Amino acid sequence: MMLENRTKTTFAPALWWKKVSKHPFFGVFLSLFVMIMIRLLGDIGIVPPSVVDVFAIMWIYIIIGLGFTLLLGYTGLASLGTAGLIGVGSYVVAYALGTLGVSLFIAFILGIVIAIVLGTIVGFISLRIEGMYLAIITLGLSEILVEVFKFWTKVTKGLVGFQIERFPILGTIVREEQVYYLLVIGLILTMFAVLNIINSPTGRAMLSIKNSTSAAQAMGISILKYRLLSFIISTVLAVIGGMLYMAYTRSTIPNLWNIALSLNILAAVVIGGAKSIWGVSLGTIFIFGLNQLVFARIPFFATYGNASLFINGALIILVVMFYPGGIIRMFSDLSRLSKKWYQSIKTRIKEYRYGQD
Amino acid sequence: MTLQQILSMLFQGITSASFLALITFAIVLIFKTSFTTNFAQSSIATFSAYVVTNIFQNILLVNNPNGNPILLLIISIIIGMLVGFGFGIFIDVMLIRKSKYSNVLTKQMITMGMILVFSGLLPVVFGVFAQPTPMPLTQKVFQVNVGGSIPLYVSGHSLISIIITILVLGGLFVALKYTKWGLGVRATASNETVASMMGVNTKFITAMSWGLAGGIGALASALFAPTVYTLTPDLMLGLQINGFLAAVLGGFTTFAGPMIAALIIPISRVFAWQFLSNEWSNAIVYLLVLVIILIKPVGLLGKRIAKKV
Repeated sequence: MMLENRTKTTFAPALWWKKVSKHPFFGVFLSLFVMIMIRLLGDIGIVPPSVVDVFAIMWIYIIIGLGFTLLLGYTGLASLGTAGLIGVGSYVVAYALGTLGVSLFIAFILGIVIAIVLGTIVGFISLRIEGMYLAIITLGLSEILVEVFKFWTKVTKGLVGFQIERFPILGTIVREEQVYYLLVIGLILTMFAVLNIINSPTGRAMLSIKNSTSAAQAMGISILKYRLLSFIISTVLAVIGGMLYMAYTRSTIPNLWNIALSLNILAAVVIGGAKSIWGVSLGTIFIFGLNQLVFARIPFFATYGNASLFINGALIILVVMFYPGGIIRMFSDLSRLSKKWYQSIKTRIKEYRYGQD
Repeated sequence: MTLQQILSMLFQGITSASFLALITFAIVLIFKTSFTTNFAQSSIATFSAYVVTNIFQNILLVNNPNGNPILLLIISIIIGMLVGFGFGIFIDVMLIRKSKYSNVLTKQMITMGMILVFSGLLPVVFGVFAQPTPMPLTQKVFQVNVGGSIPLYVSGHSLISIIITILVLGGLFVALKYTKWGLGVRATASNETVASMMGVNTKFITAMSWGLAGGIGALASALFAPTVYTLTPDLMLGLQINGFLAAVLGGFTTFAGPMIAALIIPISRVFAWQFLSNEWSNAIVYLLVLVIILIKPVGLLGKRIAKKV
């Protein structure tokens, strides 16, 4: 007993580790480390380039999912327009870099302004009535946006899609490997922002709206204001995700932004656990990683392209029905369960040693 | 602009309105009894359209080469409607009722999950290749002389679709007004708890509404599919989106409002297609709906639901 106490108090690195690992931003730095490691391993050649690409796209989907978690897990709203909004981001970068020839920085500002305007208009009209109208109106919005991508050929180049050349950042022409770090910076900044929102009065107000609109209203929380705020944030993050997607892949095509993508992001958020940013990250890695890295190699799924959607859909339904906490809840449940087992085994051993009572 | 052109556009609008009205009715029926929006409506309907095509071409027509094709088609449409009915009941009884926590968002997400389930199921069950749509009910085209040099061409299939829609929706409205089931639906819609206290079997009513909505959706897909050429997994998605917009525009709280909106939307789209732009007609109608909702948030005929705490 004494020995344990002494090591706990005097062994400096252990103390330091305990302090650091409890810090709220510890996970962000851990994910930063993982992301950079994947790139470096890819540069050395241990991780094949296609896998690095899959991970890069995954970081983008995590950014979008983090916006969605504010909407779904904190304000209790569902949106079906995510894919269309990602498409908007991709086309903004394509048009700004490919046709106008401005820098990526200006394209980002342009995209964020468009996202705020679009989110405000659509959110204000649909959220004024009832929370569930948002899904309907955004479903329509997404389809209309895809039509815009298809038919506004002057700007979007129509059905064939839009490809752009390599572009300069800070004066030098960059390769994909360098744009990867842009995604990393984007994801880390988004994680910080969302963590701060969640732990601020704004996040608590959003959570109270999800739990009971009437109670929140009685506490003086403006429902429309916070719902609109969370929808605008999720719109901006979806558009930023689209812009990063375009910056990384340098090509976009209207058919990519269909309802299945919106639902896959919903699946990632729901299955991972809509209330925690780590849940969303795990869910995204689970859904998109499983699709891209595992199912793509199984012949059955290669023949029936969409068959993996069945699993995602069934998982959404099962998680929503029986285990609303998602994957992240499983960790805390398992640790509680293992502690319980540990305790019961301990008492068993004591009983065996000293007899009962 | 001649009379013939205007009439032809009106006919085109009313034809698409007949498909849209069926889907809209299904959406509103589910909304009124379960207070949720069924996003899987189009997926169920599309699945049924695949069932109709496959049963008609691969089973009935192969086994009865001398049979009357129209009769066989009607049989396969009825089987498709039963499949839709079954899926509707399945979602309500097996998924929504069994879920641990049940609120609006949960139900919405279950139906969203069903979209993915169906789009994964379609290629596995029916193959990855594009399939032909079910045969139209009649190939005849009538010519109506309305004055002027060009006669008005009226497709028989469209005419039959309009008649079937009017009969089905008329029957449903009569049933809602005069039968015990309709009374139960209206009671459940106004207040589920009180209705169940008064002896209405709300679970049965809800399950039947989901089943009926699935069946009506299947009928709509069987009528709509022959107007396009190949079956695709998002065959009915456009109709479903317009159905939701019609329901929002007309006001979810009534049955009549969405039906009127389901008539307005396709006709205004046809006119927008003709006079403004043929590529942007959907976007124009969508913007129009948004503007109307901005002015009148509860819809054309809707009333604000007073919520008691």
